[in-house]
Amino acid sequence: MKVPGPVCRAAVVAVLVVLCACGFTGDVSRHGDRVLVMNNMAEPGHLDPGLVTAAEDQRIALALFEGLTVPDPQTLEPRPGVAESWEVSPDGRRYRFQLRATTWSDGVPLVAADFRHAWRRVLTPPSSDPRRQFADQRHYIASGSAELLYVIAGAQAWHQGRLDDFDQVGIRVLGDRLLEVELERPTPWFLELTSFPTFAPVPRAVVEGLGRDWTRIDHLVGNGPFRPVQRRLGDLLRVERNPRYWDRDAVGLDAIVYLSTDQIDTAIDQYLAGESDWVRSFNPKKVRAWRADPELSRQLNAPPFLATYFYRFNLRRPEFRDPRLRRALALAVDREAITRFVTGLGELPALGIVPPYVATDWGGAQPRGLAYDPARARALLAEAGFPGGRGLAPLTIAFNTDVKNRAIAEAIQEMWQRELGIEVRLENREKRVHVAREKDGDYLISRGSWIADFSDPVTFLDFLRAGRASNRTGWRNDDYERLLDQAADCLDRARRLELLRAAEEILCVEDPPILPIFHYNTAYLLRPGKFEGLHANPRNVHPPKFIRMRDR
Amino acid sequence: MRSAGARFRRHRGALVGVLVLVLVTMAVLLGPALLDRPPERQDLALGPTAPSFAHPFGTDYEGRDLLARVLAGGRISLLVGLVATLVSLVIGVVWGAVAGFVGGRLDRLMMRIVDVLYGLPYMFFVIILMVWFGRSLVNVFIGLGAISWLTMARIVRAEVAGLAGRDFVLASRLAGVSPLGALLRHVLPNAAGPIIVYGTLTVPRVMIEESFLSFLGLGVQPPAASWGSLLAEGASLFREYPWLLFFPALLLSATLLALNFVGDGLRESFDPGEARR
Amino acid sequence: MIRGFLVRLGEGALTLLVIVSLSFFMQRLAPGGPFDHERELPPETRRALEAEWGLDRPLGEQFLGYLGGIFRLPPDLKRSMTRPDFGVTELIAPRLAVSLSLGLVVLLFSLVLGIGLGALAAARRNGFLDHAVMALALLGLALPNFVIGPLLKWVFAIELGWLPESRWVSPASMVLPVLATSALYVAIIARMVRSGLVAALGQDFVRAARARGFSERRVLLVHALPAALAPVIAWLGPAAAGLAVGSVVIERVFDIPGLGNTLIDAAFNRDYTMVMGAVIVYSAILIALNLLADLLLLRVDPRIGERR
Repeated sequence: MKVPGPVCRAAVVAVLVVLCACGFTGDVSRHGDRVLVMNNMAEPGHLDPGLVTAAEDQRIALALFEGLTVPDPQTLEPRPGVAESWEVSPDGRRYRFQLRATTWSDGVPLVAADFRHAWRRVLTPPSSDPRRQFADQRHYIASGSAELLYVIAGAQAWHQGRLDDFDQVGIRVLGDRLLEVELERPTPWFLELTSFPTFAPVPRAVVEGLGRDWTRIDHLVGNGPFRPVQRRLGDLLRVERNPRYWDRDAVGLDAIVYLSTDQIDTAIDQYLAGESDWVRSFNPKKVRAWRADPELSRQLNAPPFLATYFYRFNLRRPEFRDPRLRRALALAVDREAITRFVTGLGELPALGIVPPYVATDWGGAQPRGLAYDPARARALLAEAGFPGGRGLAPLTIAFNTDVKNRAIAEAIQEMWQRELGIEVRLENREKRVHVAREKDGDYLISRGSWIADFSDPVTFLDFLRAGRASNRTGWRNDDYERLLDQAADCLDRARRLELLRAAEEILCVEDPPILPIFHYNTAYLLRPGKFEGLHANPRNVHPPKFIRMRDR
Repeated sequence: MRSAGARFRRHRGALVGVLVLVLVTMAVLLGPALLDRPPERQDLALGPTAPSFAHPFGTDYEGRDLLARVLAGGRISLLVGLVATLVSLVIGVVWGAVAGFVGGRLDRLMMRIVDVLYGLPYMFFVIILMVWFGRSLVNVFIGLGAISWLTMARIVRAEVAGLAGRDFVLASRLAGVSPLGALLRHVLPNAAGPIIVYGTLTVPRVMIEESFLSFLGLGVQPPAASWGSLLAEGASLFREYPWLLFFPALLLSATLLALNFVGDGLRESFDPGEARR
Repeated sequence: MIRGFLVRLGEGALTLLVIVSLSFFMQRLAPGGPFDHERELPPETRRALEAEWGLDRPLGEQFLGYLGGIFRLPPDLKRSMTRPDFGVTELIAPRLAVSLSLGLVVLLFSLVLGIGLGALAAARRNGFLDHAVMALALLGLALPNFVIGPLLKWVFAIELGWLPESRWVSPASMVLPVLATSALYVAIIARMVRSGLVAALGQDFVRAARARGFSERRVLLVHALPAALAPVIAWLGPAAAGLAVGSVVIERVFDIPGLGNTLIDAAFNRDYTMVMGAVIVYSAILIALNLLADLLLLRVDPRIGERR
């Protein structure tokens, strides 16, 4: 074929230009011997530990920053981090941390004041209120996790602008290496919180010198086991071992690469092609096939996770004023069928909101009141005035777009239609719309989930209290409020758990504003036999400092 | 027109295409009635199974019969193709004809509006549509129709503008025929060829577009299905459950090929000398 | 000519402005915002964020503020709302480069292969080769690329291990996405070229060339082909524009950091500033390439230009 000369030349030049301009820099993900490549499932949003909320950002923050404590990779018990040791006062309200002599990754010593500064930063959203104008105001941040710090005395009042002097907040620097924290009330999970990125220190001088740019990877200064070395937008973040980390000899990996692939099928393909070793998610519709194959089954992990999947009932709607209808609906859901055939990861069907494995002494008990019983459901429905579903307008289940949500809603739609004769419609909403509509109370039944902040049952009960923004159902039950108030001030653990269990009974059986469906398992793919120090645990937290390659 | 029909009948590929389309249409219209299983019925305990005597096309993850779903999906896919094409014909022809025939500033204004809609990122537009009005089949129609009429409007405008200046049209105007009459009686019939041809080719294009929407989760919502949404699921699960990809792909491809053949046949019949578009 | 061009350029700029305004209000009036999370933000945090991004001011004021940013030199597209460590420009530029280069390679590949196959089919019209080539081309029209892509990956990356499975790391990363994207374009071009050639071969100027004793190949390639390429060029403008701004589907299947997926992602996450940035770039390229195609067409075939 003959093509005119200029066209030909132009084409050749174009190809050359393209190949130079493509931005190919080679695959850095596999450089080095002891490297862990992980599909982190999203492009990181924030590297600033105070701003971190998303799971994918938390995983990175755990490598770059270290709080007072570090969770044990297996039991999640707090282990010494920046704090060498600590003492707790007998009333459980005062913690005194002895910090170790250590430095930031730029060699500057890390001191107790860095913690105070970091926490103050999280608790002080920039405000137009003249009383809240500080000289260093522009370094403060609007953090989505500020509420985690509310356990500290005065923190909530300060955050909400009801306190004018930060010295009244229970954070006291008693020396360069001595920090004292006073809590609002005894909080058994406080030490666990101190390992969260929100509680991590930040290097004050760097943050104030660079402002927002301080989390650029060429500026970022951290105190964690790793430090960032390369970030390619839309592709990966690579961190390497931090030579100034206090426990550097214990760190087993040379580098971790976080791939930002966000499509699960593509991530699974990358895993199958050997391009990554750890996919932090899975496609639920592939579970049955993978489980059936012994080789693939070994690679698919799905340990229980501290989170619950449930439906909210909108109590502002007249049909739901009567708890009998809500209870009838709950009784007609065969959760076993859903966990066995739809979700299929071995999830525990949920009759209560609190996962039984939340704490060893919680006892593994679930309220049994509304277990699957179609006959009782029909009777209760008739009692509520809708025998055989007659007289009831079609119910609409709203959920955010997702393979699993859709399959579950379809299954429940089918169950309610079959068992109760109720017509059910599905409303598939885009994620942000779903949240916005739910907040506005614009739904009848709405899919929700709650992930534990910490390993204590109260995290699953508090969020539905009256007046909480996360309630979103318009539900209010005075007995429930009273029980939770009593539990909050109760020092006797056994008694406290009893109160919480009574509250759960109200929430999930007597006057349910929600319909719990199952407790989550987290699915991930992990190359078998390649790493150690990486244990399945119910918070799906895997501190990177403990991970090492297994010798072959 | 008669000679076009005769030429079309000589076009073997087009005839095969018509035959396939007739078969597929009959299958999706009559099939569900002959099958005793509704396409939405789940059998969670059964789950995904390979083709068997009971389920000739196998079952999907929720244990639904794939044959029933493919047939029901075909209805929706063909409906989407037809409705969106109809929308594109009605809006596109009216818009293009008015712009091309009236000309001048109105023409410029109308074509700039088309340009604006062309330049608007289409998927963004569809997402906003879904956000506003929820995910429903009607929105899929609107979204696809809204985008497919633009090209039609451009083609019709070009044809009409070309014809409007021709002697026989001017002559009819001088003879006292009203502008609308001239447009309807003299201009549009002469532009019918390209319109029909492009219309036929719009159907497969829209069906492919629908499958893209389904791939992005914006298309037809379950428990309803379209070939596009079945194919999107099949493409995600083909290594685990290959039949989920094979059967929808087979039907969609056959239909798209048939439509393209028919479109080719029509084009060559209307425009034997110069197959320009 | 130059005046006409300037007028078209002005119209293009105006079109872009309308698109930008339309997009701004469309997304802002849509329910759900960038700070609506499953886990509710504390009200103080939300207030601070809204103040920081100016979302607490009247919409019209926000719009004017945004326009003010665009018309500055260099244009200020603000920071991304979901990745506030980065400016929108900074996030889009590398993605645009990726989309442009992938699009250009696909275009060149499809043109070479499409014209070659089309010419081959026309030369052997109604023979076996013709039917074989056209049947193959039709496959590209009959299967969406989100089916072709994963199939290619499965065979060549996972089973055979010959090519990188996905991501954008080396020239080899281009092979599979280019193949998956080109299938459709090769099909379209080959069919256009074939029918254009078949039509041209029946025309007087080609008969004349034949009568002068040129070889059939020469007649086909030198005399008939240029006439057959006019519709390809007319089609090229919109097609190139579509390719340049990236294919969402291919970017998702192959994990390519391109522009198409960025826009979709941003739209889903209500990253207002990012959406606007992507829309501006996307529409500007679309308009510019269409303008370019019109000009090119004017040179190839002045008749068409007049009619437009």
